[in-house]
Amino acid sequence: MTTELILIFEVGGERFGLTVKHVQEILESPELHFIPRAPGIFPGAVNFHGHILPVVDLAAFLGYTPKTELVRVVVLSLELGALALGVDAAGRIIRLEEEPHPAPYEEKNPYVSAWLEDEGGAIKMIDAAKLLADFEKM
Amino acid sequence: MDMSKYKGMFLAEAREHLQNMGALLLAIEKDPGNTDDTESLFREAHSIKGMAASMGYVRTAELAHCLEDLMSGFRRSGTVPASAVDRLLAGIDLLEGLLEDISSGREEREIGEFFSGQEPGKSAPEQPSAPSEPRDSAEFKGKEQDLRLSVEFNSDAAAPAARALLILRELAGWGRVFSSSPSEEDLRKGAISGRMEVQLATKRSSEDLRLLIGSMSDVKKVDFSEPSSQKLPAPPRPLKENSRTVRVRTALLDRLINLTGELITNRYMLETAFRDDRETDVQEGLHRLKRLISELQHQVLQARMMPLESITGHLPRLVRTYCRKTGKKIALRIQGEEVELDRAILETLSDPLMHMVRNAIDHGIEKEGEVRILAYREKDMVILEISDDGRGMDPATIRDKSVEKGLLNPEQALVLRERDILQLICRSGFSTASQVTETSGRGVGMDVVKSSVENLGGSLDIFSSKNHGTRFLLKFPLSVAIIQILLVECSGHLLGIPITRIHRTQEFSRRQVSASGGGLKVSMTEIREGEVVREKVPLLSMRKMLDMPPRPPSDSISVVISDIMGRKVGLVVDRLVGHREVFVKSLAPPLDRFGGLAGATILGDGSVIFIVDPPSLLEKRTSVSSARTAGAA
Amino acid sequence: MNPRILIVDDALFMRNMLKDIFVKAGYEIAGEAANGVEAVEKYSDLRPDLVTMDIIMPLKSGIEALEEIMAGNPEARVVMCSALGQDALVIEAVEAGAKDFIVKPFKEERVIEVVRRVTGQTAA
Repeated sequence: MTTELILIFEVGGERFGLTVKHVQEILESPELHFIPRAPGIFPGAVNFHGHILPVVDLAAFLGYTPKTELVRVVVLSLELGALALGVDAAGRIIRLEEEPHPAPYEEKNPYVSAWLEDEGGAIKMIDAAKLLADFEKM
Repeated sequence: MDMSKYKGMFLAEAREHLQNMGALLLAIEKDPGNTDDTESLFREAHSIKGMAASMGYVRTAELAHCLEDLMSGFRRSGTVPASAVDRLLAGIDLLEGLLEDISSGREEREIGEFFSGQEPGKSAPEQPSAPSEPRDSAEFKGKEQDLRLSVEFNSDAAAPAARALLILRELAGWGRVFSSSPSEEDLRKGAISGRMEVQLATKRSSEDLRLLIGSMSDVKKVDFSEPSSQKLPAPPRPLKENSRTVRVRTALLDRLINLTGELITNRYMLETAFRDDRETDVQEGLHRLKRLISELQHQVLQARMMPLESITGHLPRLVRTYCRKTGKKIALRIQGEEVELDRAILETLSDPLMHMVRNAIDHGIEKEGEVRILAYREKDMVILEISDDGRGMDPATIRDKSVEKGLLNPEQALVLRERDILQLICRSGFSTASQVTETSGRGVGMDVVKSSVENLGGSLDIFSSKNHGTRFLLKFPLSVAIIQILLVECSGHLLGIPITRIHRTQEFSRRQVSASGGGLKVSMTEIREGEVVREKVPLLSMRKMLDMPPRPPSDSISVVISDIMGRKVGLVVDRLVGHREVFVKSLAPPLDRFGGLAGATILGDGSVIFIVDPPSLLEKRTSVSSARTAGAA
Repeated sequence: MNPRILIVDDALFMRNMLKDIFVKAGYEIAGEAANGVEAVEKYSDLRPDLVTMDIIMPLKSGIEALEEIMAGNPEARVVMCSALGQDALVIEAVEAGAKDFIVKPFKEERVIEVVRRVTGQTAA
């Protein structure tokens, strides 16, 4: 458990975490391609080594003010599904020192499964599998 | 001069000539006096004769010569008697057999029977090329021993076929190689899948060989076994030999050559940049390299595409032969033969397709009827339908039989839906009854058919009812198929529309647009079957359908006329960009949930283009208002 | 005796890399050539024990050079250097008499392994 790595990223001024094993790659300002008829939370698709993945604007999806430009795109593990997350900033990876504790009662975001704390405050752990499952049901 | 390197080419061309001969003969049978066909047939036989003779395939050349002679007689008389058609067909069959022999390195088979006027007996079932038996044992000297050697390559081995060829050559220096799998010929074409088996006689110990072979790069394991009665595992046999070679359009070849040129240029650029330590240029070069490689991949995949025709071409013959034998009158109708599929899919489909046609004529149609093969694209799938208008299957009978055979318990049988009951004929136990009846007969080989289709990522549905024929519906993902699309631009974005969905494209001036019945229409003139036809076509704005901002008015509009639900509709786009042949990728969730998308493709520059399917784009809209027409037009 | 090697590659970078590998392993560099024409000339001048030959080169391709060298000396030991994905060219080269091939990017131990095998330095 102590060897687990967590990718930290920011959306709407808050910090989120995602277990690295669910992350395929982080893209820097990738070219987004228009998806006809996609709901507004999908600003486009990326060509990731020949895989065509829709990018979801996580800020818009989670109810924050959407950014006009997606700076970073987190490609979720391809085994998990075909989806990439547009976030404000990403890159720092931390080693999980202790078990994350369950999200407090006031956490309303259904995709936050647990919290981590560090000197900067809370890091909300995203449940990528649940997120994907919900997108696939869309 | 070593002719062996021309063998592949010879076989491919000879097979083409043979296929043409078969088709010509069928045409001649219908119209025996058609001197053009007679002439062509003569020329085809002549070509084979010449080719076979220069390759030194004596019997093939002799037989082709005989057919040529026969034809030259009919050429003079101006007609081909019906009795001769059978003899010519038998000759073609025999030629096919000879090519088979040549292909697998056997001696050409006897052809004396043909000359004595007898029709050769039933052609023996095709045998996977058996290993050459250790020949005359007197040939073996002293301590020479027979060995069967298997070499396993690393999974990431570079150029494994070349490695295997090297090993064969080394082994030939150490003993006598009888056979290998894959064969040397296949290896030259690059065909290998991780391992090779070789049968040889050598005086060397197996330890020596192990050291020799094992010291080569990428060799993972060397194993030996005594040659027993056990045969070499047959190499995965391509279902239709000639699909091993593809004819590549010269335009495509040119594109590949150009790409190679670009890659070489890029390489020089990279090398210079690397040497001079110019990082941005290296980055740029790598970026270009990436693009070139994906373009290359794209083009190479296109070279793999072949029309369905390549596996349906022989079916008319099959049906005809069958009708002659049984006296049934069966018509075969094939539509959509031009649909292109990846070679791999075609190879996998060839046997199942033949099987289903055979089942239909054996067990479906009693005396007279039609077997129909229909191929088309639907969204991101290729659909292949094989149907007959024969006696059909009775689900109730199938259910009872399945219970009887223990494939189902009675409780299960009760809850099964009709569709699923029909699927029971694909269970391997279904058709193994000692006597094949009409019902169980339909199941023959269907387990194999079903699994082949599913292995391709497809599905098999069966529709049938008593006295109402049977229809097998095979669906395959389009992910390995290419289609033609029209690229259009809307609000600065590119979209693809499948050509199959497009009637035509046209630019209209604003004056040609009229308002009527709450919508906008254009009047279109076209000549259909020699008649001038004028019709009003309603316009729909693509921008509106895609929730894009309306377009500022302009003098002319670009319209894609599409057939939607049997009606012509004009889709107004900003610009017609051009035709592309693209490799369509199917969409994974959630992309496939957005509606109206038939797939996507990646263009040479790495950009992603989504392909829209006009009818399903309209589906939701029509339910809201059937006449939401193009305000922006 | 250590084998003498002729290195043929149009890229200086690749030649240097191979040279480093060979020198480190104690082989002698007989010479270098930057294209197929030079390769054929230098082969007959220098009579090396082994040639490493790049497949794609200007003026004369590696395969053409290989064919000419083999025609002059059927015993010639030529090892082809290819890039990934040039399987068809490699097959052609093997058929033209190449003794082995190595694939870029080169791994030092692979290169040495091949040279040892082709020059008969293995026990087998």
